[in-house]
Amino acid sequence: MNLNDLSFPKNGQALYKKLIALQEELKSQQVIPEDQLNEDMVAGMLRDGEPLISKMLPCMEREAFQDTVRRICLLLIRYVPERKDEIEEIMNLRSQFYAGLDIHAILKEHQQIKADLLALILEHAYRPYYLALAEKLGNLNDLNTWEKPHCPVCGETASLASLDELDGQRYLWCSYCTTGWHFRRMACLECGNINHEELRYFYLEDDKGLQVHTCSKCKSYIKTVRRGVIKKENLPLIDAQTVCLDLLAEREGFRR
Amino acid sequence: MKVKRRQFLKLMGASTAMLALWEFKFLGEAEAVVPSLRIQYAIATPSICCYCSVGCGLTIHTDATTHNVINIEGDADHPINRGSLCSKGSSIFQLVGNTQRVTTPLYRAPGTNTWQVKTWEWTLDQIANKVKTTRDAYFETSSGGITVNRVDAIACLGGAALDNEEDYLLSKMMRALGVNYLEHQARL
Repeated sequence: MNLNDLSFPKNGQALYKKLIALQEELKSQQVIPEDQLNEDMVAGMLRDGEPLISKMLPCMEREAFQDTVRRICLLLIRYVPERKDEIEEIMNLRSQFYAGLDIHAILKEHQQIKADLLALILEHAYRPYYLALAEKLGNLNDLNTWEKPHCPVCGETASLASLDELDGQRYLWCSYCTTGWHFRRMACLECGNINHEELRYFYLEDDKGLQVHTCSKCKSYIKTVRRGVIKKENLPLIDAQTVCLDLLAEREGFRR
Repeated sequence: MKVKRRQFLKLMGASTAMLALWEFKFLGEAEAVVPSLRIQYAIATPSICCYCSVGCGLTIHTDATTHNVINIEGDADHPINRGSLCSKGSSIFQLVGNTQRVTTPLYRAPGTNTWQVKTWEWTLDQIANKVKTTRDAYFETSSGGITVNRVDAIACLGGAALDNEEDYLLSKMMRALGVNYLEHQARL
């Protein structure tokens, strides 16, 4: 079964592709200072199990950040015209935005703004920085010893997992910064449960490669696909395209 | 303390990709198709390959409802093989799923070149009779003044498809009979 057959609307796919292309373009403009990310810092990160975000806040030049917000808003207006007014409202406030801003202060001052929409736009605006950070980290270390359920760059719990077609190794993927890292196959990401009888999985009858691995102890799940499906830059799209697995997991009583 | 990106943004929730789905209502088509998607539950059970003494790890996938084996692969977490299997181990699924496997005892009488299908009752009686006849004829209680209680006219060869418990029982029975020539095919 192709991921395109999973009923994710074409309009949504087009928006994701444009957003990804824009963020990949902006990634190359990000500057990660050597004193912020070097081999010593990576060694410390691996030793402490702390993601990079706990050691360094995003350093994005203010005007560039505001311009990124503008370009993202324009894209969203193009693909979701019915939300034009709300998006424009946020776009027009961008002179107050900077990397590291307190989102609650903005929401308190402008109560008409939708919190989720603002968070979404800001997350997309930060993404080029985290993409650059993840790329640089990938060049410094293969992350084979990370073995944590959360992303070594942005600290988020993995969005999905892949199983290698040859040796079955499981890799976890963060769809935000596209970082991938190895994680043991038979263990729950959420509670660390290793009792195989409580770690059942389900798969689509039409495609055994589309799976949801669950833990009946803590009721968590992780979407799982074949390794060959993963194209790093497309991870947000793959995460969205496999949303039917999330809906099935929810129906079965599991939570992300 | 682990800091998450969402804590940095002071918001918690789904991934950015999922957040956009909710926010822009792209979920409608996926929600409509979900009731038509059929799913199967499975359980992955760790085990050990029986074919040789290397002891590679296996993951045996069984249907959660029927408990039938649906797949066997190398155990990705196992320190010996890290998910890999040799050509013999890779074919281990045929231990349970080989349609060409012989399922009834076959007997070729001395001096003939044809096989006859026999029942398990007949076959087990034959084996028991031959074991008893041979043991009665060749059992030694002592040799050179030393108590030996052995029968050297019988040998036993275990098969790689036997599991630990079956091997234990086979070994125990052969020792009880006094068999010394006790070997296993898996001694590579």
